[in-house]
Order: sequence, then structure tokens, then C-alpha cells
Amino acid sequence: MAVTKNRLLTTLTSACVALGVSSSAAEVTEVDSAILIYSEIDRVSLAEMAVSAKHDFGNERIGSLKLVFDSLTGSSANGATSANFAQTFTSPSGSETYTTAPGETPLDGSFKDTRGAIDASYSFPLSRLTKAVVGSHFSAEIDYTSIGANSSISRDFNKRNTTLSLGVAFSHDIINPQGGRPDPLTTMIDQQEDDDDKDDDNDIPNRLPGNGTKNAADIILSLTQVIDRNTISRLNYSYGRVSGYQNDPYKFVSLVYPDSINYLYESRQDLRNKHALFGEVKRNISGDVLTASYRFMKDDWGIKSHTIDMRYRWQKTEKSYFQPHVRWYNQSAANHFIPYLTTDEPMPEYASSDYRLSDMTAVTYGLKYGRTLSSGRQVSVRLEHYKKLKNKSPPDVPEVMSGLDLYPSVDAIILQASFSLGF
Amino acid sequence: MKKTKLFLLLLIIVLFSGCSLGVQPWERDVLARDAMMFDNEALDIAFDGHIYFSKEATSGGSGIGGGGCGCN
Repeated sequence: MAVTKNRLLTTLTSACVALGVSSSAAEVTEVDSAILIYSEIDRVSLAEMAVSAKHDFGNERIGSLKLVFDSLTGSSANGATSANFAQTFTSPSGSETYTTAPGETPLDGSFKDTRGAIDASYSFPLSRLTKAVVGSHFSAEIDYTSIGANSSISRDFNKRNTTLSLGVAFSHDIINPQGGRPDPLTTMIDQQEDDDDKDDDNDIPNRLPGNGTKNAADIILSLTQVIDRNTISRLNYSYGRVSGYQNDPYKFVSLVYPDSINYLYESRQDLRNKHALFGEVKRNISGDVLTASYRFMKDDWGIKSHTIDMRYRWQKTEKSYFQPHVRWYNQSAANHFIPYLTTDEPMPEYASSDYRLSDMTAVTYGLKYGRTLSSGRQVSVRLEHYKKLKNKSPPDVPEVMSGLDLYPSVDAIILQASFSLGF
Repeated sequence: MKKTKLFLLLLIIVLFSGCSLGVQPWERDVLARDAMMFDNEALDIAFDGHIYFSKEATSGGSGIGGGGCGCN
């Protein structure tokens, strides 16, 4: 185990040297590692590991490198509405089917993915009061690849009590869904009926050619202000523009007939502009630290959201603390969110039944315990409960779904263990 | 909307208007503690960002950078 750890440190150290400008043997000054388990009841589970190394090269030059690996398994809501009869769906690969019992939320149980990601950044001074940061990321999973770069510049004013910074980030994503990209608002292929429709190359019908691509550009303006000896605050404004393929290729929209349901692939707008304001305050209270933040987001899909997050670090002893955490989140629905389609209304250009674009409220509450060991190393563990609250079903639903809970609550447990050491 | 703008304006005024805001260099003992740094729980924040990005329609706001994902 020790050998493995030393090899890891050596690897990270070497990478930091490669990223930086130092040609001398570097010494890692700070390494953080953590493992996280996220598990929804009867749905998806995520295991995620991360190792982050930060090295101070001196003269305010700092290189950082982070490696992340995660694995997802379990069931994910496929967007279709629940119904009073059993529903059968074709899996994204087009080769299998799965059936949802009457009254149950349709879940795609074939969901499985792994992801590896690497983030690197390097910060350096431009002058006594001005600092620059350049960074990049790359991540890859079975059906998704993302590559990006970012940069920011910051300047201190007012005896370093005020810092103004401007950052930009770009990313290019490639989406290569299992079974290909569905043609929006076409009918879900029927695995049994459409076997004869497949051509000699075994192509799946109702698919768009090639991979999907998506480009994102973000700009953030940040003002950090020391208020007094015990209080520091910051205020961020950010603007993000995402263009390209933004459909979730694994989500359906139900087209409801009087006595049956057909399933269409969802269709989202290919351009999204987002504005966000984020304010955060940290205050020392007799050795404890209160951290409170608020974020407001508005986009041109019609979504507005509010997020309030509070943590109170209760410094129990000099070397240990408890930290309760509460988070409240609320969003309005996207313009193109629709619980289901009916034959009474004309087919819209865009439609998605993904609950993540619906009106929703979610709360998180949890507790973290941290301790500094005699060796100086720090360990912590946190346990949290995330709950997406239940929404009321719309009135006057069609007969095939009457009396059903169309928007059930979703509960998840978050468990994280962290380990930090410095040299 | 007007209330939101008014709230934000007041917040900005309260936070940043006074010339007396800030401390002298020798008064930074408390502010220098790790727990008073905005990035002192960077891995926690990154994990949470990944979770909430995949469960809600809002992400980011506190900074830039980080890898993308096709979270479902």
C-alpha cells in the first residue's frame, strides 16, 4: 500500500513538474484524496475517486493536477410517464427490451458508464498585485468526451482587501450515444417489430448520422472583499453559452392516446444562454466558521433557479470539527418541458419530459466530521441526504395514467471519505 | 424581478461601498486559516458539482474550470 502511495505521489509530482516551468525536482506540498459514494434508492449509484496534488514552486507559482475516476450503475428514469398498464421499452442499444410494471416510473436499468478525467492548472504572478491562471481538462466516458481550457486574471486592490478577477473557459464535447443519436421526436424503435427494418449493416432506424458535438463558453467576473478581521465575501457574475447537441439521447417523451402510449425521442433547443449571480460569505465566530452562499440562475430556456447553501464548521477541539450542511434548491421548468404529449395538440418543435427540466425543489442536509491526526494528516468523512421533493401530478391527466404519482420524490445518500497530507 | 434587482443592489452596496472595509496586513491571522479560504473544501465542492449537475438544471456559478460529463 505504501509503495503504491509513493508511486502515485511520484507520478503526480512528475506531472506537476511537467506542467510547470521548474526543471528542478519538485516536492509535492499538498495532496488531497477522496472517495465518494452516491446512491439513489432503487435507482442509480455512483462511486467516484479523486486525487488532487498542488505544488508550490515558490515565487507564487503553483501547479495543480487532479485525477478523477467514477463509475455509474443502476436505473435511470427514461422520461416516459407512468401508466396503468405495463410498458415495454427498447434499450438504447436497440437489442434488448425492458418492461415497467403498471403504476411504476419507467426506469432504464441498462444504465452503466465509467469516466476518467484529468484537470491541470498553473498559476503565476504577472506583477506584485496581479496573478494569472491557465488550466485545461480532459474527460472521457463510454459515450461522452470533453476537452477544454480556461484562463483567468486577478488583481488585488486596497491593501489586498479587494480582488477583482476575470475568467474565461471553453470546452468542446463529443457525444456518441450507445446505439447512435436518436432523431428527435421520432418514434422509439420497437426491438421486435423493427428487426426486419435493420439493413445489412445492422443500423438502427430513426438515428441521426455521426456523433453529436457541443461547444460551451463561459465568462466569470468575480469580486472578493475582506469585510473585517473575521469576515470575507465574494460576488460572482457568470455568463455561459452552450451550442450544439443538447438532447439526452436516452430520454423519451410519452405520446398519450386514449388507450395506449407511444414513445418519442426528446428534442431540446441547440442553444442555451445562462446568466448566474453567486454570492458567498465566510465568517469566523469564536473559532467556528459559518459559510453561506446564494446563487441565482436564469437562462433562455425559461429556467430560473435559486440555491441557498449553508455550512457551519463547529471547531470542537483544536484538531477536530463537526460541520452540519444544509442546501435548498428550487427551479422553474424549461419552456420545452412537457410531462407528456397528447394527440389533441399539435406536435411542438421541442419537447422533453426529463424531470431535471421540470419545476422542482430539492434539499440536502448532512454532517461532516474532520480531524487532524498527530502526523499532521487530515481525515474527514461526511454523510448527506439529498431529496428531490415530490411534485403534484397535473390535473385532468388522461385515463391511462389517472390516479398515478407522476413525479415521485427521489432520495439519495451521499457518503464521502477524504484524506489530505502535506510535505 | 424588481425585488431581486433591489436586493442585489443593496447587497452590493452593503458589501462593497464602505471605505472602511478590510483589514491591515497584520490583522489577517483569522482570515489566513484554511477554514476561511473559499477553496478549502475543493474536492467536496467538485463532487457536489458533479452530483447536482447531473440532477438539476443549474450548475457552476462559483468558479470556472473542471471536466465536462454527459451525466444521466
